[in-house]
This record gives sequence, C-alpha cells and structure tokens, in this order.
Amino acid sequence: MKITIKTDDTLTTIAVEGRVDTFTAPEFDSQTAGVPAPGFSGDIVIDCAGMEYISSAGLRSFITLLKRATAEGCGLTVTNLNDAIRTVFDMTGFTQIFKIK
Amino acid sequence: MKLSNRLSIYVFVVCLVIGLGLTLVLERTVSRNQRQQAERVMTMLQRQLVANFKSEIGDVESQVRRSALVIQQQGFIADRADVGRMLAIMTESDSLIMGGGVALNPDVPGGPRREWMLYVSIGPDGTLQEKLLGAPEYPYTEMQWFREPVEKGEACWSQAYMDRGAGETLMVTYAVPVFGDSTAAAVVTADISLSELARTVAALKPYKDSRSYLVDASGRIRAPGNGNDGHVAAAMGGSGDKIMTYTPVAGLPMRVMTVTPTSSLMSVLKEARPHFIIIMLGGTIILIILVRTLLWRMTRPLDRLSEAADSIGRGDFETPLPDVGGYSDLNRLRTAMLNMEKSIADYVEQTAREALERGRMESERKRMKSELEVAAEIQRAMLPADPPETLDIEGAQVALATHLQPALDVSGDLYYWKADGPKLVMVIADVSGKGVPASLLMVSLKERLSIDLVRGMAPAGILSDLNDAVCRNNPRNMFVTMQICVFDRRNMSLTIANAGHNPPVLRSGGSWNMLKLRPGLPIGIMDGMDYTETKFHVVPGDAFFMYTDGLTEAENGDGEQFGDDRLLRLLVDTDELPAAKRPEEISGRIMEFAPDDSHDDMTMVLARFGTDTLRLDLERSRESVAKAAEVAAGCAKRWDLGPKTAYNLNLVIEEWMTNIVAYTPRKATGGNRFTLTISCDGSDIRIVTSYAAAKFNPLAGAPRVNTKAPADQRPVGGLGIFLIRSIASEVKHSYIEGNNIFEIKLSNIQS
Repeated sequence: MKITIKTDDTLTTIAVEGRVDTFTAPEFDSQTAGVPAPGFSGDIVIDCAGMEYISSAGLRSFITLLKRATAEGCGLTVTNLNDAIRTVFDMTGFTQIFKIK
Repeated sequence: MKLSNRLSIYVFVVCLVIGLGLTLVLERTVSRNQRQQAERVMTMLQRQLVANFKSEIGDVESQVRRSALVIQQQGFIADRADVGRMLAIMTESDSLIMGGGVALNPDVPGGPRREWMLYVSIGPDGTLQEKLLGAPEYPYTEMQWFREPVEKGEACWSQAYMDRGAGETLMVTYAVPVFGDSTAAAVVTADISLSELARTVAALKPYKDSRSYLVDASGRIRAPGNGNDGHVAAAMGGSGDKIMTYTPVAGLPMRVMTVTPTSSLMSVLKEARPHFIIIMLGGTIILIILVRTLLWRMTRPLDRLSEAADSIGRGDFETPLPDVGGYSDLNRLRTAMLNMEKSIADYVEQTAREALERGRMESERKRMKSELEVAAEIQRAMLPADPPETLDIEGAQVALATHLQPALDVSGDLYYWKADGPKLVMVIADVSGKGVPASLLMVSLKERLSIDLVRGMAPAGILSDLNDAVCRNNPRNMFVTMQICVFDRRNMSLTIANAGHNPPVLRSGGSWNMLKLRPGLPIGIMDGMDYTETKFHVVPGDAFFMYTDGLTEAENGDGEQFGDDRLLRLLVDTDELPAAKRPEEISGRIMEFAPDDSHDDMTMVLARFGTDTLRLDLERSRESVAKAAEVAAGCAKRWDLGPKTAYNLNLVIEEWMTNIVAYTPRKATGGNRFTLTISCDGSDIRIVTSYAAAKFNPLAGAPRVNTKAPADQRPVGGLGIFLIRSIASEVKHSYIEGNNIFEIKLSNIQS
C-alpha cells in the first residue's frame, strides 16, 4: 500500500494505492494520522483510484478518519471507488456516511 | 382309375347309347310306317269287300226298281196274284233277297183308301210264302221303310234291323216308291239279308288280331253278333293302342269298321328285335376288345417308362430307357426322359461339387471367425476399465465417460485413460482400416503408450516416440491418428498433442467449441516428426470431448455426413444428461441419423470437470491471515473468477480468518491448527473451515450493524462478520466430533 498526501490551504488529497487490509490498515492509520492538519478547515479527498482492496480493517481506518475530519469541521469525500469497493461501501451503508464521487 | 378302363367304359356306354338310339328311332319310324301301311291295307281290304258287296247290292236295286216300274206301268195294283207272282220272281231272282213286298199308300188320292201290303218271303224250309199285311197288326205306314221313300220320293235303303220273323238275321230293306201322279202310290220293297255281308265283314282280318264290324248310322255295332257288342266306342276302348278304319257300305247307312291293335303290327319288329340286340352287343364287345388291345399296346411301354423313371428317382442316373416301339408320341416322351435323366445327373454332380466347395468355405469362415473372436477378446481385455462415475484427481473431480462401438468384431479405434496423481491422461486413436491387423497395431501402440506415460513423457514426446516406433515396422503402411490430452489439476490445464486426429471439443464458459490445434501428421507416415502441445485452461463446470471420425462421417441415405455442426448441437442437447449416459445417447442419435450406413468404429471420451477443492492446513496466526490474499488470488486465477468474485472471496477469507485467529478461544483443544477448504463447482464457492476446540460460534456473538446510522453513531469496528454475512449466500456453523465446522458459500460466481 502506498499513501500520497497532497495538501494546500483548502484541500488535502490522500491518494491510496494498493490494499488496505488487516495488515496495511495500521500503516494507513499512521500515515494519515496528520490529516486533517491542525487548523485545516478545508476539504479532504481520499482518492481511491489506485486502491485495489479494502477490508473491514480498512473500513475502520476510513471511519476513524471521517470522525476526525468531522470533528475538525472538514468535509470528506471519497473518490474513484472501483466496483467491488463501491459495493462494499453500499453494503455497509458507508455510501450514506461518506460523500462519494 | 386306369385310362384303359375308363376308355372301355366310355366305348361301351357310347355304343349302347347309339344302339338304343337307333333302335328307338327305327322302331318309331317303322311303327309309324306300319300304322300308315296298316291303315291303307285295312281300308283297301274294306273297300274291296264293299266293292264286292256293292255289285251285289246293285243287282238288288235294279231288280226292285224293275218291279216298281212294272207296277207303275200297270197303272194300279190289278191283281193280287199278279203282284204275288212278280214278287216271287223278284225274290227268287237274287239270293240276297229274302223277301219282297208291295205296300199301297192309303193316302193316295183317288185310290182305294185302305192299307194293303202283300209280302212274299222265303220260309225256313225254302219255300215261298205269301202274306197279306195291314193295319192294325202291321201298321206299315208308320214304318221308316215306307215313310222315307214316300216323303223323299226316291228309293232308300233302310237301317239295319233284326228280322223278327225268320230267325235272328240282320236285314236291310230297299224301298222304291211307285208314282201314280205326284204322290207315291205304293212302295215296293226288298229285304235282303246282311248275314253274308256280316260274315264277310267278320272274316275281314287284315292282321292277326284285327276285328271288323258292321256299324250302323248311330255307331252301334250290328255285326258280328247281334248288336250286343255295343258301341264303336267300346270297341275302340280297352287297353292298348288300336288303329281303326271305316268304309261306308255302298248306299247303305252302314259302315265297315276294322280295328287292329298295334301290338299285332309290331310283330315284324318283335321278330327282328333279338337279332338286333345280338348284333349290337356283339359289335360292342368286339369294339371294346379292339380298344383294350390298342390301349394295352400303348400302356405297356408307358409302364416300362414309369419303371425307368422310378429307377432314376431312386438315384440311378444311368438307368437305360426301354424301347417304346414305333409310336412317334411315345418316342418323343422317351427322348425327353433321356435328356432329363442326363440333366439331372449333371445337376446332381454340380450340386455335389458346390456343396463341397461351400463346406470348405464354411469351415474356412468358421476358422476366421474364431480367430476374429479371439482377437476381439484380446482387444476387449486390452481396453481400460470403464472409469468410475467421478474421478478424484487430487481434489479436482472429473466425471469421465468412455465409449467404443466397433463396426466389426474387432475395431481399429482405441481409447485410453489413466489417473496419475495430479494428472488425468486421456488418449484417443484411430487406425486406418479395420479388422485384425488394425487392432493388433492398436494393441502394440497402447503398450508403448503406457510405458511412455510411466516414464513421465510429455504428450508431444509420446507422439514422436510412437510415430518412430510405427514407422520402423510398418509393412502395410498403416497409419494412426491419435490425440493425447493431459489434465493437470495443479494449474487446471489441458495439454493436448494431436497427430492428425479430429480436433476435440471444449465447453468453456457455457458454450461448446472445436478447439484450434496445430495438428501434426498421423503416426506412421514419416519418422522423426515433432508434435506441438497446446494448453487450455479449464475451470469447474467445463467439459471436454474427444471422438473418432466414425461419428462425424456417418452418412445418411442422402449421402450427407453427420458433421461437426450436428455434433456440437448434439453435445449441447445432451448437456443435461449424467456423463455416464451421454456417449450412448450420442451414438444412438447418430445411428438414427444414419441407420443404413456401415459405420466406422465410433469412439468417445467425455470429461466433465466438476468440483475443484483446495485444501490448506494453517496455523491460527496472523501470518495465516496474511495468506488470505494469496489464496484468494490463486483461486481467482485457477477458476477464472471475475474481479468482483475474486474480491469477495478475498474479503470473506480475510475476514473469516481474522475472526478465527482473533476471537477463537486460545485454549483450543486440538492445538493451534485449522483446515481451510475452498471448493468451486462452477457456480458456487464453498469455504469450509474446521478446527478442534470447544464449541464456539463467533457468528453468534457478532455485534449488530446499523448501516443506516449516521456517521457519529457508527462504531469504528465490528464490520468483519457483517461483511461475511452480506457477501455469503450461506453461513453455517456445526460442531461435529469436537470440531467446529464453518461453511461459507458464495453463490452465482462470475468469471
């Protein structure tokens, strides 16, 4: 898994590549621990174009991030989900709680 | 009945008929003639008799008339004595006249008005007697002999009567009137006896039994007899046929009647009859003797010919035929029999020769047949056993069906299969030609093939080896088409090498297609050939079919071959049948298509890939969980799973293994290991885990997930079991013999 974070004043983009599973979820957590940066009030986008796979561990990480973002008042959008992951989001009701693009 | 007897009977009967016929005709004619003759004779004699009498009568008539004239000339009856004298003269003048008389007519005007008659007759003593007669004793004026001539004015003959006076004589009276003026003054009579006439008549017997009668005007018979013979009718009556003729007697009111019974006429014939019969019978007998002699002359040689025929019939074709004399028709028969005897002899000889030949051929055929049966027996023993319904190739189930239908007792086709560890080898082959040489080549090929397989050679290499072996020793230049196919369950691959054989058919992704291979030359054409291997990937649910051209080349009545397209369609149509039944159904349908074709051998190998099972033995540790992705990826590749199914599989395995590792009580009784079995049958994937521990079902204690809850109410974790439940179509826990067994089923997988 590879995380690439780009951030400016209004937008932080987290590009996820590879798998976010039991093993890589802790890595995801640690790499995204700084998002949102303190004082950041813009939007956070998780670009999942390169995300091949997510399991419950990954979903947990996403929820954690969402809660943090919400707490900071930042909007969180998830983009470029593939079909399988999209289905998982639907199944778990994540499509309701995440903004999906 | 013998011919001669029958002929004799015919001759006899015909002669009899002729004889009788002639006799009848003759008798008829003669009798008719005789009748006519008799009538003529009778009439003639009667006439003669009458003629004789007539002349006598004539004399009487003239005598009486003369007397009457005399009286007339005298004017009147002068004197009794004169009259008496005259009458006496008259009476004596003719022997016939028995008496005469003169009777005065009292009604004559101017005359003595009294009845006066003088009668003179010859008495019984022969002397003349005179009588005076008058009323009332003799009222002659009322008598017919007086009245008739007076009224008629002419002479009359009276009816016959019996003389009352002198004996019983038949009399008749001739009365002549004497005229004075217009009225008859007197009547002169003469009585004549008819006894002479009667006698003459009675004597008139033209024929032996003839009878003649004098018959008066009323039909009464007056003579012979005295009128007691009755009526003519009586004479004619009675038995027997009679001929009757009549002749009137001169001027008298009488007739001569002659009656002759026809029986007396037949005397002529009666005399002749015995002679006639003798001649007829004698002639017939002579004729019969002649006929029988002639027949005998003819049948003797026929009998001899029959004997000769019997002898031929008994089997002696050298029997000499007897001489039959000079008759041309008999000789013709003899010649025909001679020819026939010769023909029969020739035919018998030929038939014997043919039977001998056939016997030889039959024993030859039997020998060949028993050889064929032995070869067929050997071949049958050589074929591999029928495969069981399902083969388990180290976890991959294959339903294999094989079928060989030979055209003759021995076939030139071969099939072979062998399950060897993770591999299943399937071979099909077809030798050019049929019969014993083809099957013997097949046997040797099969042996070499087995050895090559044991040596672990690859399909292409085996074909090269077999090809070299056959080319080294192929005096008949036979060739063999062959196809070797190896299924390796380790990578679910079909490796096929083909030597000139029909391309196999693969059902992949639900549709049957002919596989495109690079076929090499058939085995036995040229040595040193290299063959190509082609690999195909199969997944559970796929099927594979190999066959020989006996199927596709079966021809129907219109010369149409069954062909590849029909075969594909037939495979589609029979997909629902269990594998074991399909080859029979397929061959049956092809036979229906081409019932009259003398088929080639029909051989089939059909494999259906069933449930493939992977089994992993893992430790309950995080390292095992890390394997989930690898395992899922391996399954996806192996079973050609689509990205979604692959993802779901990965997810389910990871989540589940996480659960097992994380939440299973540490103190598991069976150690730290668990088994993971993943199997796919083409439509579902089943994941079964089993571990020995105290009964524990993590599913039961999983937290509830509210997918509709807003973000702040969603807990961070607890999604693992939920995801499994959402993706799987079935999740089941059972506890069997100390093992917790979980089954998770993913359905409707996509490739």
